[in-house]
Amino acid sequence: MALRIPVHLLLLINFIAPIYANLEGDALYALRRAVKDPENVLQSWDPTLVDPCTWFHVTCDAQNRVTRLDLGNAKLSGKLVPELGKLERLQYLEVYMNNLMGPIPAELGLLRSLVSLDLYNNNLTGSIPPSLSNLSNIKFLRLNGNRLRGRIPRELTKLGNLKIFDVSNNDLCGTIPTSGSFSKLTQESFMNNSRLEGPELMGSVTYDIGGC
Amino acid sequence: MKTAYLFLTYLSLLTLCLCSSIAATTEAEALIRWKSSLSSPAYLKSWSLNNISKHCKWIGIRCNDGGSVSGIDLPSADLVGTLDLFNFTALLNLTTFNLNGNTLNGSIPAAVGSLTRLTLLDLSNNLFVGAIPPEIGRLTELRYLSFSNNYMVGEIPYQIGNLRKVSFLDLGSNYFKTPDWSRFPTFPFLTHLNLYYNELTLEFPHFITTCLNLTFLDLSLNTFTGQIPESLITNLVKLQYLNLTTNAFQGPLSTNITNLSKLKDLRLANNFFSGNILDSVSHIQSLQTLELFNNSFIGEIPPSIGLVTNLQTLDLRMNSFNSSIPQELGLCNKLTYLALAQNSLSGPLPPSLSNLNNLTELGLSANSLTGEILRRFIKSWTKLISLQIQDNKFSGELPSEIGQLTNLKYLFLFNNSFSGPIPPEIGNLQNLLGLDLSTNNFSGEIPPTIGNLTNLQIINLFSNNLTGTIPPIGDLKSLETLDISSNRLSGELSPSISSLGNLTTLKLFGNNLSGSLPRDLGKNSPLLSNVSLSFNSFSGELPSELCSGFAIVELTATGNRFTGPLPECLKNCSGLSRVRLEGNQLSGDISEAFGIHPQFDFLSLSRNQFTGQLTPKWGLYQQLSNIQIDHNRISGVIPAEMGNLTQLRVLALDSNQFTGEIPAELGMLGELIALNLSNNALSGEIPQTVGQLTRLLRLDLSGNKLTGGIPAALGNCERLLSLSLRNNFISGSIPSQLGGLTSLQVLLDISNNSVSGTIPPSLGKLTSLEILNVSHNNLSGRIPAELSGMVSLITFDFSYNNLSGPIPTGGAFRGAPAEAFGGNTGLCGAAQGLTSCDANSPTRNRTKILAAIIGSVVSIVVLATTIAICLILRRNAKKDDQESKGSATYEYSESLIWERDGKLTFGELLLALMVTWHQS
Repeated sequence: MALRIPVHLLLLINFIAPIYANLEGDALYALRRAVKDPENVLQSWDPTLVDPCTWFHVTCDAQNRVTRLDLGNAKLSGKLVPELGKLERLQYLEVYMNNLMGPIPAELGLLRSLVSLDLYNNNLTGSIPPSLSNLSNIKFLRLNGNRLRGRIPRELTKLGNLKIFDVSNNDLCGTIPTSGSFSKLTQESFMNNSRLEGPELMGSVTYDIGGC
Repeated sequence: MKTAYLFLTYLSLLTLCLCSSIAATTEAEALIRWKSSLSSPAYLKSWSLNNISKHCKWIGIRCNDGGSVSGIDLPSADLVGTLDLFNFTALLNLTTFNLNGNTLNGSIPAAVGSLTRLTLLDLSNNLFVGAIPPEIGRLTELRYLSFSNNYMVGEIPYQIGNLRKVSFLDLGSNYFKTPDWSRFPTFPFLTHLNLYYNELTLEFPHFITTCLNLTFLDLSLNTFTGQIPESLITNLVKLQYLNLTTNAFQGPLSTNITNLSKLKDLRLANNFFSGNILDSVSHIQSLQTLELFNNSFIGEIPPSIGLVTNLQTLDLRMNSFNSSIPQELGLCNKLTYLALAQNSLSGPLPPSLSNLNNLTELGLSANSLTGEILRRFIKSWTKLISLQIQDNKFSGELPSEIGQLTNLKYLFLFNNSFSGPIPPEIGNLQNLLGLDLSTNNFSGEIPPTIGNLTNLQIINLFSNNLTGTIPPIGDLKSLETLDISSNRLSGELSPSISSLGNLTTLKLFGNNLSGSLPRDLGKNSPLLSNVSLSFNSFSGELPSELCSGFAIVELTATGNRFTGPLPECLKNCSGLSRVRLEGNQLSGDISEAFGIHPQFDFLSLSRNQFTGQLTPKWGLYQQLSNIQIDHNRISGVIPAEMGNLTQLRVLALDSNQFTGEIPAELGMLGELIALNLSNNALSGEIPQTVGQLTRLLRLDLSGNKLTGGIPAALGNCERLLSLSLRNNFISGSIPSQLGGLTSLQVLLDISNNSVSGTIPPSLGKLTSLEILNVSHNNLSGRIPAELSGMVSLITFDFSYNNLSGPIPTGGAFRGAPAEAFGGNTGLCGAAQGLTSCDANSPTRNRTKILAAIIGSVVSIVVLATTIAICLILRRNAKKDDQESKGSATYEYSESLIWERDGKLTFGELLLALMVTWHQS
């Protein structure tokens, strides 16, 4: 006799065992899931592997902790994920010249080892998270060529190692902080933000009142 | 007359008798003829010509009072054949015809329509094909009709609508297609309608809602669409069983579903139903089975669920229920199957769940449930076969009473925050097949009692804080997966691990395990395919029979102290895909190590002591995406055939003893992102084809004996982050095209070569570059001022060249250390140790100019103000006008400062203001 019992009716147990346990791998895999990757640049990002250090475009240190993420010019679209904030030893976050959208996750401020944050030439929106002022090792902070709005957080002036700060070609507003590490910056860092009002001069009137 | 009458009577009686016996003989012969057409008629032994007069006694045959066959009842009679030679017209008195559960095939003859006295026709569970003959519509006496579970096709004929007396209609599990349901009338006596598992589409058939006596309705496993008509709920109030599972029904379900108050089974799973329905459904107190899984139902699991005290199966998986689990659920103590997985449930489990002492399956996975698994739960859930609460936020210790759940087959607690020890009582769970406690905070030892669980197929204990040694597990003959990676286990592997004959996956990575691997590991495990030993302190050789079953797909042992050669059997593992052995002390001839592996994807042998050469056969591993053989002792040439590895992303052959030229064929590796050939003895020129590697991020050819020039084609590698050619014999000039490599960030190093000519000003476009080293060459001329455009430079080195003239003054060159310029006789500038080019240092100059400008501006303002005050004093009029002039002057001064070449830093601006202030 014909026994045509549909298999899925017999399915009693949902057997979803995650077979990986690497926090940094999880964090990066969250990014893979959040972006479209038409050129399969992230193809090797297999969360079941021992760690993410063999994934292409990921660099680790001797302790197998992620130090670099080189995804510039990779035709990625989608969003940055807050999980990236878990990459404690990350020094270089290079995701420039893609089509990333949405806000800069405030969690990126947790990346205490970060030397370079290159998010330039994407489609990022929202404001610059003040939490980036926690990036005490940052030298290069390039956020230019996005659609960022709001003020430049004054807290960023305390970034003592800042060498390059570029927020040009955005839609920022308010005044430009001039104290601390910002005293070394030139106007070029702020160009083409039509609602940005110019530097605040010490001892002069501060423009930093009201909404912008 | 009387005699004649008697004679006639006799004659007519005789005739009747004769006729009847002739008819009976015909029936029996018809049956015999059909029997003889069957290929397996053993069951019908009593059907015989010798026995023809007693055919009413034949097995499965029933006769009416007139001796005519009225019933054929042959269920599960092992009959094999067809109905093709069944003479329906010879058996017109049949009222029941039951062939359920045989192996009959072929189609159903149209002549079945002549059996007009049939009340029961059951052809279910056979291999019948073809369509239902429309003649079925002549069987108007039918009460029971079933074609269930055959291979029949075609539209369901509308003539079935003639069967007005039918009460049981089962067409399930065939390939029937959708008819025009509007031609189907009501069936006033229909109580049981089963259309399950066909190819029915379109909307809910209207006629069904008019069959007011339905108690059983099964439309599951079709592709019905649209909403459920309200008339189903208002009309079919006698329904006890309603199954719409696995269709494409949609829309919110009416809260009037409470009308169906007789329902015992409500199965709506695998549809697109939505809405907040559970509270209404909970008022159907007769329910025993409620399956709503995989829909889009929302809302809470209401306290009213406790009203459904007859409930045995509750499956709400894969919806969007978002409450806590109400304590009233504990009132449903007949529950045997409770599945709430993949919702958004939160909060702790109510203590009342300890009343559910009939539970056999409990699934709560993938929610946000918190709290502990109380001792009282475990004590009362003794009938559990499956406990799956993974992917939640449960915490606390696992009660030792877990050992009392001796029926348990699956214990999945993974991805929670359980802590404390794994209770040794777990060793009492003799029926356990799957144990997964991974990704928790369990600590202490793996209880040795785990070695008693001889039925176990899966042990996942990875990502906990387990310590101690791995207990003997040699008796776990069924074990397929052992994953205890990412703990703090120590000690040596027990030799007993070698006796696991079904082992496929062995993951031990990320522990403190030490010593040699058991010599026989793999010998008795022919299915072993995935072995990960990475990041432990293992030493000794890899067991020679590790891959004796030739089944290895992944072998990773990176970060240990393994010595000796790779197991020979590795070259016979045709499914080999991934090998990671870097950072050991492995040795042996690499040309002997591998065979034919069509799926070979990833190889890293870095930092070992392999010897030998790369042979042309490496060009055959066309799936390879990664070859890292750096830091070994490989010699010989790089085979040109490696240019065939078109999937290659990383090629690292650095720190070996390669000789010969870099094959131009490497330019065919169009996907390559990293090429490192440094620290070998490569000679000849850098091939021009390097310019074809347009995806390259890192290129390191340093530490070789390369000659010739820097190929201008390198300028095509637009994505390069790092380029090092240092320590070669490269000559010629720096191509200006290198200035186009604007992605360069990490390094540009051409030091220790014989490069001559001038530094191209285009390098100033490398605005992201952090390290530049051109030292120890024969460069001449000036350091172009444009280089101050390299704003990201952190370190640079121009030393030991023939450079002359002033060093640039802007950007990174400001305050540069003298060492960066040493060994150039003609350089001058502000750097310490260099001779000054001019008495006035440029920086101070700028400040002076600024001070002059600001000074004069301020002077003008002061002057203007003075004049204004004078004017005010003299005229005492036009006050507003004067204020606007003052304001205009201020704006002018600000924009003047801004417009000056845009290079002023805010620091310089402030300094200038202060100088001005001081001067005035």
